[in-house]
Amino acid sequence: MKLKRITRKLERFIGGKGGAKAPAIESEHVEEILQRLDSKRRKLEDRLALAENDQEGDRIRRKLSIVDEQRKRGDELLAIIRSDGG
Amino acid sequence: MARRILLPTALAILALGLWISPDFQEIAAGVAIFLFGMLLLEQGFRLFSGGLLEQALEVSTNKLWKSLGFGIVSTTLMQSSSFVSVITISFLRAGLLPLAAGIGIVLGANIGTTTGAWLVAGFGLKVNIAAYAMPMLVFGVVLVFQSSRYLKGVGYAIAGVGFLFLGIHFMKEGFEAFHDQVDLQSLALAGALGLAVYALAGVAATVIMQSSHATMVLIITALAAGQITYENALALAIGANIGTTITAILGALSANFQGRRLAAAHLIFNTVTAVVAIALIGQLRIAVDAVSDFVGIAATDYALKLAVFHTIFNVLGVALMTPAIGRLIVFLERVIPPPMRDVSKPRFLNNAVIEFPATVIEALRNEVQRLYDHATEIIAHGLNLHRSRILSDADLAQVVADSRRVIDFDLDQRYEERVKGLYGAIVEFTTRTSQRLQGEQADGIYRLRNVGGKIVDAVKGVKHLRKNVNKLTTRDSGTSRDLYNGLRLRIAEIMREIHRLKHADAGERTTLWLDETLAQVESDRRDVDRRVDALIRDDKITVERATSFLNDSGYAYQVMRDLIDVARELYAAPMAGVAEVERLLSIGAERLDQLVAASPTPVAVHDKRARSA
Repeated sequence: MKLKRITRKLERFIGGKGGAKAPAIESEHVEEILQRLDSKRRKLEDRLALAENDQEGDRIRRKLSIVDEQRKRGDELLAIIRSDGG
Repeated sequence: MARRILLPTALAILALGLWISPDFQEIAAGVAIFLFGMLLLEQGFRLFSGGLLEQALEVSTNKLWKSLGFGIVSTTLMQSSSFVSVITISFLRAGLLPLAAGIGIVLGANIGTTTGAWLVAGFGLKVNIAAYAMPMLVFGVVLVFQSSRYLKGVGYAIAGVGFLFLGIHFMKEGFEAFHDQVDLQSLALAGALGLAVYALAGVAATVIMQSSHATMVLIITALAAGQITYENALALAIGANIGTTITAILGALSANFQGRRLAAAHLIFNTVTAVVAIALIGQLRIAVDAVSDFVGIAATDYALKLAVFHTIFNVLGVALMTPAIGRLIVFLERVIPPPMRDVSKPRFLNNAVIEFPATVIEALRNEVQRLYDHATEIIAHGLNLHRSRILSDADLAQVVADSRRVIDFDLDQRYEERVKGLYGAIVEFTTRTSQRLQGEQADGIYRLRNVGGKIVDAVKGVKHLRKNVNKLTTRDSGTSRDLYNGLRLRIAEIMREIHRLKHADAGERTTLWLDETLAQVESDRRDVDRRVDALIRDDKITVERATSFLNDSGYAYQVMRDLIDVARELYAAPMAGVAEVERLLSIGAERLDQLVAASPTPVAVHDKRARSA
């Protein structure tokens, strides 16, 4: 479902259907974001290890789950761009 | 009211004078023809200079001596310091000239205008200039009817000079005939009284005619005809110098603050010069006699001696005032400050932007960012917080805890002044531009317009909160105070986060982390019911107060969501491709809610911090 949604958006962006073209998404753009996400994840893991109580641990774990979700979407996007020859 | 009766009164007096005395008629007609000649000369210069004057103005701004020189030369050529002053004001208004250069030009024009007295006294009175006037008028009018802009301009200029000559002739004739009937010299006043009365008469005559040049010609012709004494003519000339500032003052009425500063500088300069001239009148007369002797002017040629006096006292004024220009500018900048910018008007959206689609999105983004800046001030003050403290590095929990005084302002009025009008302009602009744009550009326009809508909603949300924030956060302690401080703290934290995002290095800026902020907001929102229930059970809060807080927290969380949405669009990564990727990777509200629901429910961090602070 998510893949379809992203693919649809990508069709608009890469295919340039009608009107002014949207900014082209290059694989480097996605890779740059993925690197940032990985860096963020490492920092959050370090903070989790030092968490003083359960509550703080829970908050960091939630942040980690958000970063993981973003990372997953980024991987999917990168795969689509690469398969499209971008 | 005074203005309404001024013109009819002046016309009535004039009509009476014209009816009583045919000689006065001739003098008045001479003045009218002379002024008409000046108008034609100005018109001619406008046409055939083809922007030459403007170009020259632009290059004569970098040095004071250049500005002075330009004022002298241009006024000598055009024989109208008023025209030069008005052009200078228009350049100042357009921001093409600095004030110092403008003052330099006006000072120079004061010297340049003295050449008029020389021309009239040295040439106009000694030669039958009416003989030159007639052919000039004929040739000038023939050229005026040509289609070529250049020839037309030359025609206006020649005809203008012709009318100037004719006007001088009529004045001369009029005064000579007048002399046979009435001896104005009998009205001459000697000493300080004469100096003061005739100086004021000079001011009045120049204000009425709006031309010191015309007044000087009138004075010289009257002096040559023996109608006024030399002493009184000197006083009239001094008065004419003050009266001439009326043109710049009238021009400045419709000008911006820079134009008004220049008009004030002109008035100060000419008044100081006049005061100095009156104070040193004895010494100046000695200097005039010395110079006249030196250049061979006869001791009884008072017309030319008046021209010498006019030049000497204007040069003296420039010499006195030039070193003080810097201080004069500082004074004028303090007395005439730039007007408060009308914040309700758009600064970046205009028709020129619409003509260039490439600039539309950027201009709109700048305007929406401005709207956001206005809104954050209202939001902060609405929560009784100061924006500077929120955006500083201070401990926010402490800032909120310490902010217990109501900031006295009318939120509705501030909203009307700073947000509503600007948002209206944004909506109008997007409606007009969206028809011209397609595809992603049109989408971008509407995304920014929606951001404007969210900014407006955020301000309105704070308006709902304000009543209880004012009532409860001013208390020394209490559960309600802590609850509302928790909401204030959370909104302040989001504002600070957005501020940091805005000022992050281009390579570091990302809106992806806003997902975490939004998740925290959703988590707090889910938690609020549980916390309020616990407080009611423990009798720490009344049911009425609890329901009020639940309502208010609904508004507060919506404000937070709106601010986060605004930041996503306004402060996206500078590289368009990266910004698009971030938009694709950001987690939707629905999925975020699932993630929050799946995670344990920690006690809202801000609530705890607000209590401890």
